Amino acid sequence: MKKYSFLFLIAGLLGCELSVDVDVPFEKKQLTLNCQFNPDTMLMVHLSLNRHILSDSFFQIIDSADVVVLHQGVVVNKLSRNERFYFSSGWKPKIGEAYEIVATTESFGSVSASSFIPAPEKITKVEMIEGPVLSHGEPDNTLRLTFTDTSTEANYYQITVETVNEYYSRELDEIVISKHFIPLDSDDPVIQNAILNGNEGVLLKDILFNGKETTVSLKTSDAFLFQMPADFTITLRTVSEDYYRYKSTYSLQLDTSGDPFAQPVNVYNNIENGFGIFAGFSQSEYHFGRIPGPEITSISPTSGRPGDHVIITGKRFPPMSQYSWPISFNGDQFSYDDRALLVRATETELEVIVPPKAKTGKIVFEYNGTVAVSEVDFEIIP
Amino acid sequence: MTKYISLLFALLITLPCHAQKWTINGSVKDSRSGENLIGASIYNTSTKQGTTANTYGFYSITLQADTVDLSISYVGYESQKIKFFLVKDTIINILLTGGTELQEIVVKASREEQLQESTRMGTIDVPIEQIKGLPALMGEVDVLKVLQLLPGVQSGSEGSSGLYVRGGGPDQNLILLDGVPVYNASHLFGFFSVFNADAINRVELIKGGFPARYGGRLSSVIDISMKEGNSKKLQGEGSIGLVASRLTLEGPIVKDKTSFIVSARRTYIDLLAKPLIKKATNGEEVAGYYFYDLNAKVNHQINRKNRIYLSAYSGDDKAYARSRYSYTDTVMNRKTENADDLGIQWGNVTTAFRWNSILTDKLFSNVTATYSRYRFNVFADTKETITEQDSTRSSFYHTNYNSGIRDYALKVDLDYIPNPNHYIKFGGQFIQHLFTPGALSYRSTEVQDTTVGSSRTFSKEFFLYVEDDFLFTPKLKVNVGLHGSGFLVENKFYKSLQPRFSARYLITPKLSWKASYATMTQFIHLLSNAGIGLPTDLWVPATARIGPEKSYQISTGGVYNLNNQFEFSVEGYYKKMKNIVEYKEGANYLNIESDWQTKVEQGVGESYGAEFFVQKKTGKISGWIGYTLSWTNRTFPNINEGKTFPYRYDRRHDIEIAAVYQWKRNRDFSLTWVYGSGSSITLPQSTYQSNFYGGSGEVQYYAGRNSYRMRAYHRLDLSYTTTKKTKWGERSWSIGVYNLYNRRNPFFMDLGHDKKGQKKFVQYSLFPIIPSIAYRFKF
Repeated sequence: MKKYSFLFLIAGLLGCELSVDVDVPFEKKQLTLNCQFNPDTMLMVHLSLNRHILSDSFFQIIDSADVVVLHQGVVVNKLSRNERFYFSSGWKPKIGEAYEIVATTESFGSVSASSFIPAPEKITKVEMIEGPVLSHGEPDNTLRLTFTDTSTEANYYQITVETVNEYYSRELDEIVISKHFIPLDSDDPVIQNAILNGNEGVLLKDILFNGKETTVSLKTSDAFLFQMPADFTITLRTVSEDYYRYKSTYSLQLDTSGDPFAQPVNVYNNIENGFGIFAGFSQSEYHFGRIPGPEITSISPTSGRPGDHVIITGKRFPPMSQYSWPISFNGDQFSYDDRALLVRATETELEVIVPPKAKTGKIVFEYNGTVAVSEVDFEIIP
Repeated sequence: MTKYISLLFALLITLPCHAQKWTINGSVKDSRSGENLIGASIYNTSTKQGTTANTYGFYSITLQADTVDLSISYVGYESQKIKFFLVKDTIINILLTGGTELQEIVVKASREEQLQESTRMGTIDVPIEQIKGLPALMGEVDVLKVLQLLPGVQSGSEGSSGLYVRGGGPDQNLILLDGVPVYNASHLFGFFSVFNADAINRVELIKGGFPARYGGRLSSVIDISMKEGNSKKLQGEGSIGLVASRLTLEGPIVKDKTSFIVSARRTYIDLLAKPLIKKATNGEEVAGYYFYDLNAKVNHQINRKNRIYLSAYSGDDKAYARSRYSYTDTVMNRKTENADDLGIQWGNVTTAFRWNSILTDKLFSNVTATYSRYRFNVFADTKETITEQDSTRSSFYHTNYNSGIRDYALKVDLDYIPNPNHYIKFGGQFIQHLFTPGALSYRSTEVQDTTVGSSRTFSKEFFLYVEDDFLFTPKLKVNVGLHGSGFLVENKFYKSLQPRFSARYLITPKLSWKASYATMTQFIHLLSNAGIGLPTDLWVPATARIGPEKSYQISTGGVYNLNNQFEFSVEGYYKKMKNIVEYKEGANYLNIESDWQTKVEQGVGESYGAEFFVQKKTGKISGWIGYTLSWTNRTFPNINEGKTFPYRYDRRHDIEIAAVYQWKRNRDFSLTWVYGSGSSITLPQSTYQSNFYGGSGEVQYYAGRNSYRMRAYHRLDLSYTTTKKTKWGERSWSIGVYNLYNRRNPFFMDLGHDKKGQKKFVQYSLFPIIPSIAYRFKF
């Protein structure tokens, strides 16, 4: 429905702008403490100062402060400033425990906050239901995850899905791995108050499945997830209420920014005397193993001119038609000039024609986030 | 409840019964057009007793057998005097003649019962001639925008026709067109309202002291009566303006028995732009926007005692875009054809069938059956056909979004006038609502018909009322009433008893003091994202989870009449609103896939202030000056951390001047000037680093909701009209200027940069100086 906002735009074009001075009181700078902690990594705290709304300068980072972590009122750890602008030590917090953090500076006073780490839950089952590709080009795919909300208290979860893709880098002459988060969507009633926000996946409360096993349906229009053999990881985070409230309000704030008619959203803040967030979480991961992609075992001949036919022998070649997947000669997969014309394809053999602008180099076949590279160069005879 | 009923009985029983009495009744009408003169005064000078004609021109007065000296008057009309000896029940139908030929364009006014004598409070009626005489945005006369010029009424954002009455939102106004509620009174995103001034006889705004016959909304009643149609001769009027053109025809079907009026208005920018767009896109694209209004009414006098009316209104806004593309891929020998259709449409239909009957000479009845619906529809159709050598494939995708409300209602109103000291009204209404709060359906080559969104809801609403306008002593007059209503939705029943009271005390014949109290209950909520009158605004019923809204209002004030020319009034009020609805922070209304009930918060609102008003309805210079001093705030447990915050349109000071000056016989000047303190806005105070996206993001910190003020709003509009008689009738030219001194009034504010690249708050404004011209004719 957002596409109709163009109507506002038209209205806006009629108008005019005027920059005005608004007296926004800003008495003194305050500390911002950001720390999101879990039992698997060491605790790291970032300290900076807030700035006036009309200031364009960088956030001023705090170098010296006394930062301590307390557990049941007793100091359990003292953090020191590392070279990456964080305060940390080798110490890791524990599951199920509540912690308090206190950061004290000379000029900007002291801030404190507390949060805890809820116990992680495991995804016990993952199902993928492939839907049809809709006429606007997006597939209607569903991912169903099952896990148990073991605690009867209010729990909060975050689910993210990350895929791992390979591609061939000509410069490095090697296969490079890239990861990206999949945008998720859902119309599952279990996801009450779900916040959907690109990289942040889905945030949900356990209102409808408190203390029970549940299956959550997620939708994604990302084709990669379903076209095996892409490899992916589903992360289920059990998060503290602080974490949930911070993330959900912040993504709402980002969502509504720039909309003059929406009432602005204040982001949840649990830092006493300051700003930021101190929030615990724990997580479990579910890996979806790779089904091996195609492999090139040999090429014949190993040299030739543009227009020559080349036989590529290998394993697990998918059923293909001309435009399905790119086969390039030392190529850049994005350039059609380097793409070979496919003549014949079987599960073990591909017959291709050397493209007009081919250069000497590896023959690269990319398929669904995986990549097959010939061992030897194909030499172009001038 | 019993205590109110017994009070009413007490009032009825103590009706004085003296010597022989007889009743005079009849109607008061315009001698030329036969239009009802609503509110005309019938006064017996010998006993100093009087009454007024009701909405249907009917009056009844019961007097002792004696010489009566009736004076019938109506502002802008020549008074009539009738003197005779009353010996039996008598029927007198009165025709008054408006002005003289010389003063044809004298501004007519519509209420002769003098303001200080009435028990009504917070009630203003603006003569339609005055509405038409005032300057208007782009020359398009707009009834609701004229009401914004009255004290106690704030306008929302620039150009919008929404009304904010005494701190209430636009959802709290009951807008009645011939007694039928109109659910979305805006065209073109609120810039124009749906009422075509040419088809309207009278507009009344009630802000407080609501009589018991009205109910169902918290803050105001805007009662608009359509013209009946000239019963004497055929006549027409129309205008050609920048935005729209209008044409009205009215006349008798059977003289003095049956008459009709038809009035139409349409914008025509789309018609002018169509050939240009077609040409520019080689006929591949067409797009446009228009709105229209159509009002029609027929009335028929069956006999002296019975009259029937049928009135209808229909209006729509439509925006459409259509494209047809095709391209041929010669390499693949493939032809692709693409057809896209996109449209948005919204509008109201209202219909009323009404039967007036004079049951006895003291009892007048009015039975109305009404239908009203508002519908918003968005559709998108895409069709793609691919033709290859030996095959043709096609695919389509169709989406349709519908929302709206539909009402059937039956209403019975009775006026009983036992003697000049009482005017009793009672009756009831039953409404069946059907709410369609947003359903999205889609269908495509692969997907069968699918519908998502909230389901339709039926609900039943009813009310009963009784009120008596009672003259206790010549100085003290009270109006006591009781309005009881109920609402049934999904097996949940809500009921509400609403006492109403108002009184006036005449200190001198020209000066009175008044006080009133009213409780109102509203069983339906309006979900409005922007609060500017968008077509997407959605009416939903009170539900088990989100209960009905309530308001309590007290007001008191004085009225002084100077030389029967100037009416001065001062009113102070305090209003409390409960269970009012607001969107949760950041909730997105357009995401229809989740239930609206999860997206709203309920809280309380409060408004208080004082209103000063001077009105002059006749003379060379007519018009008014209003000033409002007011405070309005809201408290929601889950918004702004539960702290009370100012309402968005909390404007401390509000000044309005509206004047029409008749310079020469055929030349008029008019002006309006408005000033309003800046409305409140939420601005961020500081930013701090966010924890996510590698810490590169920033979080904006808001110190409190609506804690800043935008710049003050003020604007001067002028218009000049010259009228000339022609062989066929009369024509006039109007030229006008909106925002004469080009004030850049705030529309909204956002963060931006000034010319030096410095980060600043940037204010956006909408309308610069806008000249307009209109041509009007009458025949």
